[in-house]
Amino acid sequence: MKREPITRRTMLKSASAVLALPTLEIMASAADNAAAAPPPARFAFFYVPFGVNTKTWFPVKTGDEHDFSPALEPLRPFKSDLTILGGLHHHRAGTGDHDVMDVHLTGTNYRHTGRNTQSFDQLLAERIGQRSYLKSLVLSTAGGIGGPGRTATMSFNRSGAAIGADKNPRTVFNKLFPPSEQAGRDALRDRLLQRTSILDALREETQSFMRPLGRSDRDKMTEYLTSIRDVERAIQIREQQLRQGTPAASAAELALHANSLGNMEQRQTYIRCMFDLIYLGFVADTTRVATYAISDEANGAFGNWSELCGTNTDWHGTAHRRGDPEQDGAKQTKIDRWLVEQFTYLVGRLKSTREGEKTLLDRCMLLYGSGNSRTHLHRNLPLVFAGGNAFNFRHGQFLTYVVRNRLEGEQGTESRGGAYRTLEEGSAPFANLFVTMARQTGIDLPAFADSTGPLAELAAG
Amino acid sequence: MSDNSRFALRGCVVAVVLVAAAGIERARAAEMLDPRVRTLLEKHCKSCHDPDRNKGGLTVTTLRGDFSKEGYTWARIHNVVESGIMPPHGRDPLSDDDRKHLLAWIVAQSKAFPLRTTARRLNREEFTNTLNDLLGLREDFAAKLPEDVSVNGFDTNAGVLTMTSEAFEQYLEAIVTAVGWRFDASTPGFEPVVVTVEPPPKTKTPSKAPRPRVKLSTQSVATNPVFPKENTVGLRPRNSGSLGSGPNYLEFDFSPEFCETLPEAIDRFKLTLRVRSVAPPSGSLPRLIVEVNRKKVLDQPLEPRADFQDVVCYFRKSELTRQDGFTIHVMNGYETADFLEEFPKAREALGREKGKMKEEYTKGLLALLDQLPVIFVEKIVLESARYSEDPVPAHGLALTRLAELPGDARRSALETFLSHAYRRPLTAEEQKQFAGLFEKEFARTKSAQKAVESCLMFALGSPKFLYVGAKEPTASPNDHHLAERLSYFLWSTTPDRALDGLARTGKLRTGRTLEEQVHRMLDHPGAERFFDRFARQWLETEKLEERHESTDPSYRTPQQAYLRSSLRREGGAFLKELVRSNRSALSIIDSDFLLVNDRTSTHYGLPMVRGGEFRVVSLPKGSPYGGVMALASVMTTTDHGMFRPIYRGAWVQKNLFNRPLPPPPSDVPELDPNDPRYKNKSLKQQLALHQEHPKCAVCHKSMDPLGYAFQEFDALGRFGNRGKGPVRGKIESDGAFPNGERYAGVAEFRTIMLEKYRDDVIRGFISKLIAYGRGREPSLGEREWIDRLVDQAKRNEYRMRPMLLSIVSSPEFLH
Repeated sequence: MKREPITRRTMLKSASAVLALPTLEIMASAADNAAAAPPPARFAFFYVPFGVNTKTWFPVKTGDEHDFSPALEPLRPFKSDLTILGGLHHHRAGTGDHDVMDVHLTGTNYRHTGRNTQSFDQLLAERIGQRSYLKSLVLSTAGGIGGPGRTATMSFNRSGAAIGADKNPRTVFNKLFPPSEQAGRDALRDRLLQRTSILDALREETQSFMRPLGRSDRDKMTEYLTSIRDVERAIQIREQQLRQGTPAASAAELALHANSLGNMEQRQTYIRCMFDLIYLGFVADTTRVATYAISDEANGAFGNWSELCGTNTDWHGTAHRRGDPEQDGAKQTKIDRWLVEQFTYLVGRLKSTREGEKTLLDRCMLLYGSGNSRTHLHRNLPLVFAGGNAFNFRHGQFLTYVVRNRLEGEQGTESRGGAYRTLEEGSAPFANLFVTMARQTGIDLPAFADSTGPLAELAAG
Repeated sequence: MSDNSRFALRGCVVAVVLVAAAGIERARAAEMLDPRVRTLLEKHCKSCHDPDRNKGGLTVTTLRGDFSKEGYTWARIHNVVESGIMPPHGRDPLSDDDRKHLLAWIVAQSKAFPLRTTARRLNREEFTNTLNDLLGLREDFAAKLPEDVSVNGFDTNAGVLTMTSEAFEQYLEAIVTAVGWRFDASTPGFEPVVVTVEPPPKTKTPSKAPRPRVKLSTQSVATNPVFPKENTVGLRPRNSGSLGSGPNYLEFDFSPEFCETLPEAIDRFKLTLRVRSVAPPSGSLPRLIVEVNRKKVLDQPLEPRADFQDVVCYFRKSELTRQDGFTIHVMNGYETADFLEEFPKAREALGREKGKMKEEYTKGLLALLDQLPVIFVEKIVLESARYSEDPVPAHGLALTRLAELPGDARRSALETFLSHAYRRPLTAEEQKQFAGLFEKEFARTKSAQKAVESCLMFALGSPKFLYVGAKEPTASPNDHHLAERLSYFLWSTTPDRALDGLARTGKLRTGRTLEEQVHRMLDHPGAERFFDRFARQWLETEKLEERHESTDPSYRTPQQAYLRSSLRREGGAFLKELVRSNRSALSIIDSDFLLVNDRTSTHYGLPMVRGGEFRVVSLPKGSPYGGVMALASVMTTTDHGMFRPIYRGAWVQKNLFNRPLPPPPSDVPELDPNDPRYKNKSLKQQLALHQEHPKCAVCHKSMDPLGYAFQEFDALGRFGNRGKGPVRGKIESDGAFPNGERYAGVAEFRTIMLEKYRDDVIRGFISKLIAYGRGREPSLGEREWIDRLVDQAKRNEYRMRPMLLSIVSSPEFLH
């Protein structure tokens, strides 16, 4: 009994030491430390719904000698920066039709428990996001949260609740950067001062309010206090951004007016603008973790591809081969490739930006893909993992974990009958990729969801 | 020494201390845990529920018997042991005597350590309502806040309504935005812009200033009923467009060039539409739908009238995806889904009549189209919104004038606001601090307006506002606690002035005051939130509109949008009728009436009623409907393909008997309809197969047999609608209750429920009401309270109002 207070104090001490670390980093200006500390790792996750045309997506040859398939062709210049992955899926995931996006980054079987769990990006945000202004950037074209089974966001917090995604480029820009013109900066400074003042008063009030409360009520107030402190911390970083002078990015260079509802050209402008925002967030180290659902399983965005593929091209219908299977397949290849072109734009931008000795892409890990291979089939996910060469990935391969012949044998069946179950044999959990990504960047992650270990073939050491 | 090893060393020290502490804990545990219970846990549970295996997230070896901390875990143990799920089949079973001892001990301990509902954050709905009520706004803040975690369906659960950093950031953002919006209309407005619907001009006259324009979706004047006879456009139902009906929406384009001429600071706009509708008596009423940049801002039924009327709606520029200009669509949202089957046939027939002149064809088509209602639009008016049209805030203060008040008056007004935000009188200390904050902010900003805004933000960011039910452990609950809990239960928002006033004078619990207040609150429009929210969460119909995956492929089509929203509202309408007419709660099991609107009336095969509001209709004798179980919304929500009896049975267990079953163990595969063993077997035989496995049988034997009663209802709850959906072969609608008693079909199912299980259903219903209203389910130690409430309900013929009153007037409601 005597030792109890000592325990608590020791715990607090060690806890505060850990907590103080990021704060210290923030306080030291970026210029002072640029030479000393290596630039941080960044992560971004991208989602496209309804799978792909698997026949024109996966390369024929595996390993280093693979060729680029028609859909992935645009990525050819970056062969040594990326790995094409096949045969991965969440073994525990719910087997629903379109809830695959809900579990894409969580790997949980939420139909069994009724609740989702923390997504991988949010786990990263917790571990490394603390050190930048925004713990994470959560984007989707549809925006908001959608709902269970029809999510509009890829990100889920610790308690498994969906985190609302931003869809408006201007909102995202304003989140990332202080304004560049003086009037806007003054207004922002005023707002920050006001918030600091209010939060100050709230913290004091909460401390005196919670003192006489019962234990469980006090626990709730402790959470509340922690939340206040986190917001105060973010405000401090923002104020520091303001002191450092004009932001790294100016709104004028971006297509912030872009909206997702227009024609193909506007669609491209919009998607690339979202990519640009992530890019700028990474360059300025305003955020280190981002998710962007380019579209979602609820058909929340870009349902119509008639301009690209000919009249009456509905994405979901095409993926289902509702029309002529051959024609729909060709249409889907077109869509796949168009989207990969957009993704290539981001890869290229990161690659052409230097950061220290290396390129920015070498420290950014991008995971692009879908929760289905073909629609309603959540096996053999089409995934492209790009970037991160600074963290010793063995890139340049087509790595597949699928029992190939069986997959080919089942082409054309749309039921989720027993036949697919055999595919699980020999294929690795998708979550193993998360574990690999985390461990290669020095994040201690024993396991995630149903992971069984890292993907040894992807790690160069 | 490297950083890593230093941390490792510290880790060791901590670990050693923790081990020592664990030893002490074990010693203490021995005092509280009944020795026989400890032996039973060791013998029957430990092999799976030890810290290593921790099956189902439960470890029994660390249980100390301290119910103030472990109450929830013990309740779980009680639940699985009482229902026979644990110990699992094939393991050493508990003897009858041991089982009784374990259960009795848990109940006795629960009573000895009564739980208290902890303080909880307002959920996002309550927060939004309260914010609107205190500031006099009507905005949807909830859509931007993180969704709340629910427990057994209810999003009011105190245990899980916590605060996280990202949530707080968004709550704070909402508060700052809301306060900003309260004062934003102080910018000067602009001259109302009137856009009249006119025939397109023959020649283009070049105009200097940019002007808003009107566009018709198609220029098919031939089938257009009135235009250009009158200077209006008649809008056919939007879904009838493909049938050749002509224009089915109007587009008003306020181009970016035009919008640049409006003052930029204006955010909130008011839109007035001058409209009229014509609706033939055979159908229902049209709905007027208005979208601004594809965001829906109005959806309301339009009574047919001879002359034009003004319909008003509002929108905010900052809430739109595109903000440089406004594209406003006006539509007739009449639900043609019911007509579509006959309509195309009639049109086809018209086309087949060879030799007809074009004029004749058009005439025939018009006659067909005239069976559908039309909305006429004369003009729309765009202007800036004004304060004077806002709702009056709960405290009655004119917030926009606050900053102009003289010092003392302003101070007292601010205190009134704070006191309403806190839902209780202020302490002298709080008054002093608040005045201090104003002075500090005034000194910082040199602006009374800004200081007022800061004070409002502080009040709304305070835990005293954001959390309900925070209490010092020794203090006994007072009238303010009761008013707060009552108000969030029945209105999902803060007490209004009348309720608050009674609490302030300490009169809420004197005489018949509470009873009068409960009646008043239930008759108040705010109670709609209780009817709607409770019913949706209890009946699990919340997701029907947006998220339900039906096995009926037509369900998610655009044509069924109105059916989806109607089904989502159905449960609330049913509960509202029970409460407003003070009917018996036994109507849950069976009723000779149903609540329908135009869309659901035909869905049920009843004569069509006019208009979107739900109303009572009597059911014909022998109708398969009645009660909540066979509501189309419930049948739709419990449809998950051919194995639907499982889901429907589980629904009855969970929502009527309040016996939620644990989720299936994670190593059990999903049922596979293509399993070769299922070949040539009836559904019942197939389901019997999976009950052969003892692990499955333990739960499924008590749910599958209940679900057969509803086999004759299809995926959308239509009775006897065969040929659609996955049910093949002979329909078997006979089954059994968990005690083995058999029923032959849905009618007999209801009769037996009513005769033998009525108290179980009422007990379940009362428990659900408590879980929702109090923020915590009744604990094991409160069983006697629930028994008492059930007895009282029986004495009052199970009528809804006395039942609700008995719940909220029990002291336990505030525990």
